[in-house]
Amino acid sequence: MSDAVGSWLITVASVWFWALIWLNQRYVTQLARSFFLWSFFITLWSIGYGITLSGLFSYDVTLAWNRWCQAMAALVAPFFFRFVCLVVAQEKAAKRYFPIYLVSSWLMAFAVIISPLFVSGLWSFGIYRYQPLGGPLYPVFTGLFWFITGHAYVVAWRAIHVQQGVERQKTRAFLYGTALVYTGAATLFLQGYRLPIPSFGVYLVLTYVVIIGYLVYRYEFFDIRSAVRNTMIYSVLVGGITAAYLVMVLVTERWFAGFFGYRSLVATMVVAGLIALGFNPLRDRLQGLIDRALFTGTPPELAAQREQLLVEVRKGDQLKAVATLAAGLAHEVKNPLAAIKTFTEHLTTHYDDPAFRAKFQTIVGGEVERINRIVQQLLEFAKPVPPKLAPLQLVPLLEQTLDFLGQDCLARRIEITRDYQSPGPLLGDASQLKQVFLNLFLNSLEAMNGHGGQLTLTTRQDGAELVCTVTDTGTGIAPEHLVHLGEPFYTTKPQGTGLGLAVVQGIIKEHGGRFSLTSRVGQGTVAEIRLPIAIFIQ
Amino acid sequence: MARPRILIADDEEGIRESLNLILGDTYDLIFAHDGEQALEKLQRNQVSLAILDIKMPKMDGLQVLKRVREEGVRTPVLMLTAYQSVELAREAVTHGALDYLPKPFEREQILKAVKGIIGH
Repeated sequence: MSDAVGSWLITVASVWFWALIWLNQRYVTQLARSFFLWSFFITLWSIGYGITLSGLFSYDVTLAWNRWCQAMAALVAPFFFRFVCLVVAQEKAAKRYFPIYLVSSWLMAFAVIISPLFVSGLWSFGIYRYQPLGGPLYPVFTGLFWFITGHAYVVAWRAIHVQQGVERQKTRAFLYGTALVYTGAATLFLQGYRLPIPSFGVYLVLTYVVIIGYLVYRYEFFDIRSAVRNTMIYSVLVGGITAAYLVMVLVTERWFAGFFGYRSLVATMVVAGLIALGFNPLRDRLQGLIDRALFTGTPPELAAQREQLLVEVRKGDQLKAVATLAAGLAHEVKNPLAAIKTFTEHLTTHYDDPAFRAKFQTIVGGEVERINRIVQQLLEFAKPVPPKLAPLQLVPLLEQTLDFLGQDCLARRIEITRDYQSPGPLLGDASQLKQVFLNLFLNSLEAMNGHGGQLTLTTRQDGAELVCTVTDTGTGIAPEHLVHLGEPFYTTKPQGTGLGLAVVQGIIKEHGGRFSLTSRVGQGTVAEIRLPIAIFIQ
Repeated sequence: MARPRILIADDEEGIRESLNLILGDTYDLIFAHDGEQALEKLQRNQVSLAILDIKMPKMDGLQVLKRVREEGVRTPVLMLTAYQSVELAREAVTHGALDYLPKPFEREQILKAVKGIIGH
């Protein structure tokens, strides 16, 4: 009975988070959507599983609900597969296998519901009035589930070996976190094999759904690594508390049984009610404690801190960018100034020469216009405006930003290589994107200071995304520092070196894109930006 | 007596025309728009002086200087530079450039430097 409450809490928690998130459209990212599809089937499963464990219904009704829940469990697998593929950025694997897994899981779900070969009946043990009993084909059903789930882990594991730095840690933490929930889930199949194992695993699933849902909502899921890390801590703590409660349930039931002389449904319901009453406040307190310990603030405080920090970072970064630009642009202005100066100096002596006057007009006029353009560009950069999305092409924007640094590249003996395979039609804010690339270029230049090197820019299309990479052959970033760069809002001080990248991340996120950084010490750094491609209708 | 010939290499029309105004009355000028053209003209023509901008497309002024020196061309070279690449210009001097002139330049400064090298 108590496990049924756990199972239904999964349902309630999931539905609540969907409502929160879907009512607030700005949180619906591709990753969040895929997570919610996964947890959607966990919810459908949890309804039927809760009914099975409750023992409140007749044998036939419970059997029908159990077949339903097993069918929904079959559908959890393909959506988990796709979610994992997105987390580790293996879209190709998702595209190749997800349709096959989805179709075979649908067929399996259908078969489980209509055929007694998968779930043949129900049996009882311990505190459970009903637990499912597998039929001859039950191993086929569980086999498919674990095959697809296992493949998700294989994809993630391979991605780990290709990834470096923060990406790698992120994936690893994600795998550990989900392994925890699947360890819980694994114990829920064993009863079908007539093994009298209690269904405590539902609490691990519950914890996972609650925590991830909470983090998607609260922290916009922008840093899945911290989400998973914190999930693991929550899971362990909540798991411990749940275990304590279960001991209490068992003891109380024994006591009631001794008192009344029979196993009482009332006793079970009273204890279940106690759990339901005690569980939520305790969980809330736990969340508050952990938020305070890990994020140094309660959620509202934290949100305020983050906003404040973001504003400061933007301001500081903008000043830095403007200072750099001012230096670069001062140089750009000196060329036209040299020409204007020379021509005006010669004006009095050469005034009678019509050829000189014509040249004066074109050269001086042109150079004044050029200075005007440069100043205009500087203003565009410096303006603190909210993002204004407009159709633009990424490649000319990259080149314009690069122009500011041409002299720097030259001075530092940096060769620029370009491999533009897509012009990059986007909906974006030109000045903000310029700021992004200026930051990345400056980082690269800094990394290659004194050594010379190569700065490589690429653009290509990958599905509906434009992938742009900025690669340098600089000093690289040590893994421990790279980790630091990945989570500026949680842990670093505003003086930290990684704050420029925080702005980069913020802007890219506002454009609906993704930003990642891989690096190897002594070899260089690759910054990858993925932005949704826009199709312009002329 | 033939006028001394000077090669002026700069990708900016404004700078080329300015130097033409300052030096055109006294010297025979030939122009290059980028580093490669500058190298080619230095290899083909006898010039008394080359004025090379540092920032140029295709090949920068320093690369041109190194190449001609490697080929044994001993033409005197003046580098043109904006303030940010002064260090680079100093490096040019160590590679055999005679001097460097910062932008924006003064008419008298240019005339003096050129006269100092060519001698008249």
